[in-house]
Amino acid sequence: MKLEVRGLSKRFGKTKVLNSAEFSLQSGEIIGLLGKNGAGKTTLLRLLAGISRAESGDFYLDGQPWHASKNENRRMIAMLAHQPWLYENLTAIENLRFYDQLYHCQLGETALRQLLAKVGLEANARQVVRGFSRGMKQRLAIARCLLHQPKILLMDEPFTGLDDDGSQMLLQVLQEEHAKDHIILASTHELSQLGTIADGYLRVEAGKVLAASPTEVLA
Amino acid sequence: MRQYMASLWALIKKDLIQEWRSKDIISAMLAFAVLTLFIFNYALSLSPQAQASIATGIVWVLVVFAGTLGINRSFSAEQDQGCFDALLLGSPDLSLVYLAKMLSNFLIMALLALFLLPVYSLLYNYSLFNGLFVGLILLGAWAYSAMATLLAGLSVQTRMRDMLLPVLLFPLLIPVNIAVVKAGAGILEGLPFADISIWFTLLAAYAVIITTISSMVFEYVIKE
Amino acid sequence: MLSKNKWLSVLSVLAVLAVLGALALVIFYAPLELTMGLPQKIFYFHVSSAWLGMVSFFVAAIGGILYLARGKEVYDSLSLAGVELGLLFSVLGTVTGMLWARPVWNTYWTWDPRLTTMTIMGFTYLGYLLLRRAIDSPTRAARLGAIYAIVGFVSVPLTFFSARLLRTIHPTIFGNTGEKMVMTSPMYQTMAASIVAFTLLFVVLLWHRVRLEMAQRMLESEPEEGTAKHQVAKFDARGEEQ
Repeated sequence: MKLEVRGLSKRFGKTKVLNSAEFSLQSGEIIGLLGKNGAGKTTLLRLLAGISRAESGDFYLDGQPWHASKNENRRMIAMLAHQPWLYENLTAIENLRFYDQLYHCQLGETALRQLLAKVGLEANARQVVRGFSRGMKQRLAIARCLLHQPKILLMDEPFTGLDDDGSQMLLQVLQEEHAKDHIILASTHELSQLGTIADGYLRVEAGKVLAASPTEVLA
Repeated sequence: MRQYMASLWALIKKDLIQEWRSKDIISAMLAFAVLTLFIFNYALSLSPQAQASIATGIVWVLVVFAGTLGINRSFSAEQDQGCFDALLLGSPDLSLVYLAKMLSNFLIMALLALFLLPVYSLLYNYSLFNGLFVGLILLGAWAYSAMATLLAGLSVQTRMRDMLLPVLLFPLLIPVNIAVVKAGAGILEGLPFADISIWFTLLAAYAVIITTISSMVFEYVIKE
Repeated sequence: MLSKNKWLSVLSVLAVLAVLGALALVIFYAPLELTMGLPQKIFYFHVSSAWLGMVSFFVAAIGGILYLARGKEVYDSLSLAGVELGLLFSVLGTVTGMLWARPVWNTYWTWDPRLTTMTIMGFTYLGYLLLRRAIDSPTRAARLGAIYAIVGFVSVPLTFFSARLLRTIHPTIFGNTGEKMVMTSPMYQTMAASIVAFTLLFVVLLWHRVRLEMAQRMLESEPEEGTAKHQVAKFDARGEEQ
């Protein structure tokens, strides 16, 4: 699977955050997204997910025109944003059940519990999310992402709030997705986190998206 | 179609469970309504003779005001937790989000109204237990919910948030207010249905039109 | 786009002349009405304002629909201009209505359905402007404004109808606006002239306002190539510009 982006532009008022950016993502690769604060990493992820509208730009999946916001394509995408997208007055399992119903996955209770176990929240299944710590919410958000078995994972600073265990868990999750030949794009501030498993990097700078190799970046 | 209904139900269930657990909205609304009822007693002299013509007005005003309190909160979870984005990504048809929210708001309003009727009857010794009257209030609640839910979706995204909803809502709610109060007075005064059926028609028309338009337009409320 | 538009200049002059002409007709040509006397003459401006209040709303709603459908900023400017002018004309209509009612029916306010609907429209316009002011992101303001304009416009016939029903079922206690004025043909002519003149004025004002808005937006959004390095754009939680 190859996702190509051409001529992507997005403006916020006076600032042209992305200016005819071009890049591509391959399945089976974990790509780190780098860039200074305000450079446009979040914007880029949101544009890819289709929840932001680009000024101009074309997307191609395996050569065919593609857009995230088309109904057929929505299921392919999962996004882990700054906010966990969780309902505070629902329990962990109720949140997952909701998303399960929304995506019509029809996973049974067992499958949902297994998912919770994967992210280390099995014991908190019936706990209301309001009482969760930031790290716990992040774990649950990760579970939410994996629920509908997406092929494209877009993650905005996914290590935020995770403790060592959590980070380990996330790395493992990413490697599993990697093995499944999915596209993974994760923005990060800390190279040390993603550094061990990233296959490549993209950097957002001056409105452009440039490729950067791991050695180049870590040097 | 089945998927549509399933998604709709998932959305409604989510809101109802949340409200059931926190009881934030319904408790504030009920408290507000009862306390305001007390205020009305001292503010207006409600003679027994005036009851038939005034009761509906009072009950409906309470519903309108308390309703804004509650409906103001309907999208706060989505706004504060970023769930609008989740729904954008996960829901094929954004009109579903509106319909679900409108229905859960309607249920909350209906609960409020059904709570108010016996309380009013008790405090003013004037029975509001009339099937047609209850039906009228529920129809009004639907019309109200249809409009208020859409506008709450707008106001929650502004800086003014809660304060803006009444400003946006009240001018557009006038037809509903007139219809409910006039029909209600008619029912309580014992007028034949033929005389007041026009108000029911108006209410139903309002509810249907606003629900339809809001469903069509709602994706633009959320989408960037 | 910012250069002087010949048509607009011509139209502007025409509009001013037309309004002056209508004013002259009202003062000198239109006869005094039988029962109401001089105050009745305000009626010409009252009806024109009310008519334009209605037209403005229509323009605002159409602008809103087009903006949602096509996304072009000019439609949003049209909508905004429509609302602003609508507010102006509904207030004018309400005030002239009150000035007319007082000497004729001895009350400032009659719950006349048309007057009531127009005043409610005025409040809707106010709500629209408040809504836009309370939103920082210009695209969001445009989008949400468009929705409110559309839904507001739809509720106008419903409001009018319910207010009218109210009157037919419960005859008014205040004033008797059901009483028809006796209108002679010079009055009809003056009425027509007033409406035409004011409509022309409306079109000119609308055009000017849209141009002004578009010019302002162009100025404010001159793109700065490059990153937010020297200008950090603030984003809210949903990534929209603050």
